[in-house]
Amino acid sequence: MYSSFFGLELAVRALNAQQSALSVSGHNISNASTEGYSRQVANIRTAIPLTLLGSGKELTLGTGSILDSVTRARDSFIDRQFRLETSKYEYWAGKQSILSTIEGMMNEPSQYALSNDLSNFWNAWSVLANNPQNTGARSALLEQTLTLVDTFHHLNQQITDIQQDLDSSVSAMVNEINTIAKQLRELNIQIKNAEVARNNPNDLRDQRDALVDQLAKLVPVRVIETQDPAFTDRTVGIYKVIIGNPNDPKNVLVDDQHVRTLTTVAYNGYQQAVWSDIDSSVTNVGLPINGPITINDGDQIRINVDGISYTIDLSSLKGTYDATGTFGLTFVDLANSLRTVINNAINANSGPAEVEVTFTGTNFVISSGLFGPDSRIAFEEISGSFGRTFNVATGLTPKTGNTGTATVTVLGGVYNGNGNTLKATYIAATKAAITGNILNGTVDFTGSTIALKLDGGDTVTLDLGTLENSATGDASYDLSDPAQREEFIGALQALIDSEPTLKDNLKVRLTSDNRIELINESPNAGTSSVLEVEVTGSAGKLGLNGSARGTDSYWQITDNGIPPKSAVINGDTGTVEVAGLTIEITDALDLADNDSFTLDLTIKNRMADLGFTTAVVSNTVDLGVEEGKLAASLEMRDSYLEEFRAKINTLVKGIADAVNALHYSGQGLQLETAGLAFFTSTDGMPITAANITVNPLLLNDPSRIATGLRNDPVERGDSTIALAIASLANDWTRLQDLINQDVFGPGGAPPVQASSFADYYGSLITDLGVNSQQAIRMSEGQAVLVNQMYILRENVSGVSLDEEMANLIKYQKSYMSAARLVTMLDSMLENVLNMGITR
Amino acid sequence: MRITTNLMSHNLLRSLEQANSRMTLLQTQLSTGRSLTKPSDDPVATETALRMNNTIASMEQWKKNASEALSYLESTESILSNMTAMLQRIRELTVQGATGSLSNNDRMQIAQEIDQLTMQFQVLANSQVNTKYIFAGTKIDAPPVEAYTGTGTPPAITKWAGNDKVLEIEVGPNVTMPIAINGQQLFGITFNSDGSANSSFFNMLHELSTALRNSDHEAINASLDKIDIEIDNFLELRSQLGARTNRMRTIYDQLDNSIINLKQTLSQIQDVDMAAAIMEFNSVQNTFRAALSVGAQIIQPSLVDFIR
Repeated sequence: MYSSFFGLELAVRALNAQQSALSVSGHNISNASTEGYSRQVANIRTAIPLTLLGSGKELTLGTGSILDSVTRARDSFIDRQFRLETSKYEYWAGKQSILSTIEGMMNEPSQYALSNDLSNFWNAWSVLANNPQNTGARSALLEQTLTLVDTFHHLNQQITDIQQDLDSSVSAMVNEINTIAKQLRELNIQIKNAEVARNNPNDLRDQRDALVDQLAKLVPVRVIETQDPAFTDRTVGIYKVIIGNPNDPKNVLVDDQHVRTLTTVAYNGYQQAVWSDIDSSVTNVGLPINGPITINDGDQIRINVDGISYTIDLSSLKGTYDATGTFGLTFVDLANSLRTVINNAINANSGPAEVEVTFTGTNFVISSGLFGPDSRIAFEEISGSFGRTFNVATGLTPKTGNTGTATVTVLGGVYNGNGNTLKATYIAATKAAITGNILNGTVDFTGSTIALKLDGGDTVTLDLGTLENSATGDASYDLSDPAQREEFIGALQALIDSEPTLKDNLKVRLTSDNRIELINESPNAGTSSVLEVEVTGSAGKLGLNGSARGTDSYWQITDNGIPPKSAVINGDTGTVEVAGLTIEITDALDLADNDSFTLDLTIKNRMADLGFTTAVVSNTVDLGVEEGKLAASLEMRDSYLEEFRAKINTLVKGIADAVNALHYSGQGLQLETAGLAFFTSTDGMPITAANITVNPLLLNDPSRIATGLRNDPVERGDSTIALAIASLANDWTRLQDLINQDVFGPGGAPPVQASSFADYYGSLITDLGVNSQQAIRMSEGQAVLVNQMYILRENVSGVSLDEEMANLIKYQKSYMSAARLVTMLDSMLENVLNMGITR
Repeated sequence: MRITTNLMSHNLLRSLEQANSRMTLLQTQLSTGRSLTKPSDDPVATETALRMNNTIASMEQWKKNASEALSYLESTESILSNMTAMLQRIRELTVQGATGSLSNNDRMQIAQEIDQLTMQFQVLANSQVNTKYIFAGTKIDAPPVEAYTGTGTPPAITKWAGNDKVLEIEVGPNVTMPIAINGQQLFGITFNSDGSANSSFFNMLHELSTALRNSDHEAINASLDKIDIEIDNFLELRSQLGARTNRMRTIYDQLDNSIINLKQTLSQIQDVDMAAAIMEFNSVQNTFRAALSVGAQIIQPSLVDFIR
């Protein structure tokens, strides 16, 4: 038998259960449009049945329903997919918006952009070529150039502006991540407290999920929820959030009640995201080294240690190294020398800590000695030759067939030119020679004489009347006739040879343009070789009167910069300073005309040979691949925009070099003895988009803008140079001679790697367009995926008003039925009570 | 699959957004007339458009150059035709002076007219077009001849301040055309070794004048031959000039046509087809309206409305 009030109790339980379920439905309805809300389900189960002993056997009676739990309908797998797709979408959307900003900045294709300014610039040269004497055209050209230069400055500044915008947004995102992390920790504590008390904090969990969704937009997120093993009789969870690359063990942001923060440290002027609690230093592991490494004079590496960049000259490490020491030096020796040389540079600059360099047997490893977020190792690119120091010795390259030798040593200095090679050519001493007029017309030499004096010796006078023309028999020759010309030269030589002092010492010859030439072939050479000639009579038509002296030998040393820098060493040996370097030539033997040597000035960056790349190794957060808005901003700011700026700088330098090279060989309306550059830089460094400007000498005096070739006297109508510069709008045809001389780069390289400047710029814009198009397509595709995930999630966790209304009806009817049961039981109990009353 | 309230409104919003963004894009295209406004619209077409813009800009400049050259050439032509007429007159006078029936006085008169014509030739040798001395080669800033301004027979010129280079202008990619004639060739200038000059033309005029004053018949007849040689020289150079002028006109017309063709091609690449865009706009607008009205109808009612 059971309690009298069993039924009542049962009904009451039913009422409670239905009422609670109704409340849950009501909660769902009121939160139907709440962001991040997941539908809660009231789980009503039967209460524990009562086992009775009745009628001799055991009976099990149900005891009604109770509300077991209120759970939320949430699929964590869909959540994970949703967050993944969101991260990817935010990455591409972030990238797309920045690329769209860059497209707006370039504003192509339109009439108000760089390509238009360039066209106008080339056209201004064409206008100047039509009227080089016109000062108006010169002023117009200068104005157009200043506009172009302004556009370059402006573009450079805008790229920097975008980078700075991204920089502040990176800082803001890091702050947001930290804020979210703290909030997650708070929620974790609250949820844990509730779970320990056997509650089901569904709404807190919803808030937590919403925060993690927000976090997923910034960085890729992975949530790991496990059961706390400390509690065996109830379900308590441990909530761990990992951001960035999930395989990196350092990337835990929230570990239940423990939260870590990110902070920003400056690198190259911009903020990088790092973990603030890292207490380790960084190590850069190089790639495996296979063959031997040879270090030469002038090799360099550039390394950034803990935020400070050092350019290290490896000349003192000259030699060949390999694993076993075949050449006397091992890789371990190289590691030790590198350590010494890099640490010397760090100490000289008061850097924070020294590095450690070791060779592990297969590769080099370099570690910073600094602990903490500021610890960093990065290898950087070196290019060009400006600022190079070195000392080197090299041998002579004699002209083919020669046996000359000499030793060339660079004693030191810092190269301050724009070129990449230094060439020294030996010009041998010349002997005295006199070139006369072009031979034409009939000349009768009867009665004319020629007096010759070699090297200050005795004067020998020859009577030209003794010459005999085989055709006419007398001393007159028709010098317009090639045959008679030849005969005349031969007869004159014979006459000279008849004098013992002159024989073999004086030669007569005909030049390629039919002029007569006397050459002093005596063994003396240089300034001691003298020839004096005096003619009388009709021989004056030969134009040989006068005296001549030979020139001494000298070395001409020039670099191939624009404009070139050169110097001369008089004699066969000597020392001179050229382009900032001190060159010494010694031990010269058997030198002949046009023997030369070339020094390659380009800096060899040995970073790759040592197995290192330009990667920055530091405590920066590993943000995974192509996920999250933070990664998009960092990538655009640090690599894409820098590469974009580098391409624009290449274009600017190419234009400046090409125009300068042509301008340098010309002159304007005044006589110039040395050429002028058209473009210069404001700070003396190699020309970039930031520092390019017009040569102030030309701004002050536009008449010095070179339009024609250098000539004395000035030919004001000569527009050769202006035409050549104007033709740069189309292709390199007028630049071909300079290109072949390797002025713009080794191997006949043009100023930019394209068929013209417009072509290079076109490909730059096309690349931008392609990248932007890709970002648009990827983000649109990802948006569709995100939408799919959203639909799936709504499918599981969304509130359907129709469903809730149906539930309301269900619970209401159940409630009414339960209430009916109460009424019935009430009347039954009434009967029971009335049973005991006797009349 | 459960359809929730949120899902319906989310979907409605999304389709409205898509229709809206399509309409905005079409609106931009229609109001700017361009289908290519930024490189990401069509990167390859952008490159082509850039290249064409550059070529059109260059061609417009060459066209201007050709037009300037034409005016230069035409001015030179008129000066030369003037000179030829004067030479013909000199020939007539010489023929007249060669007849034996003239008195010495008459020959004197003829000589004086020859002198005046010589001085005029010297002035014409210093002609300028656009402040450039056209017969001085590239030394365009100084008059090539020292014009004689005194009385009596002008002496033969001994100095020539020009050179034998010819002015050129750019009318195509690496294509330059000469726009003047060689002044030294016109007047038969040769240089002596000491820098002084001889002009066969002016020498001829000087000899003629002297011969007329001295009534030297032999010399006058010899001069007649020389005049014919000079006239042939002038005509040859005039025809060269005429050929250059014709060529320049052809180049000008060609450039004109090329520019029109390029602009047409450029328009095909970057301009929007108005008719197509407007049609598409209408159709998208219809879709938008349909989405709005359908969305409104399904969003509102739910079971709530039907349960009392």
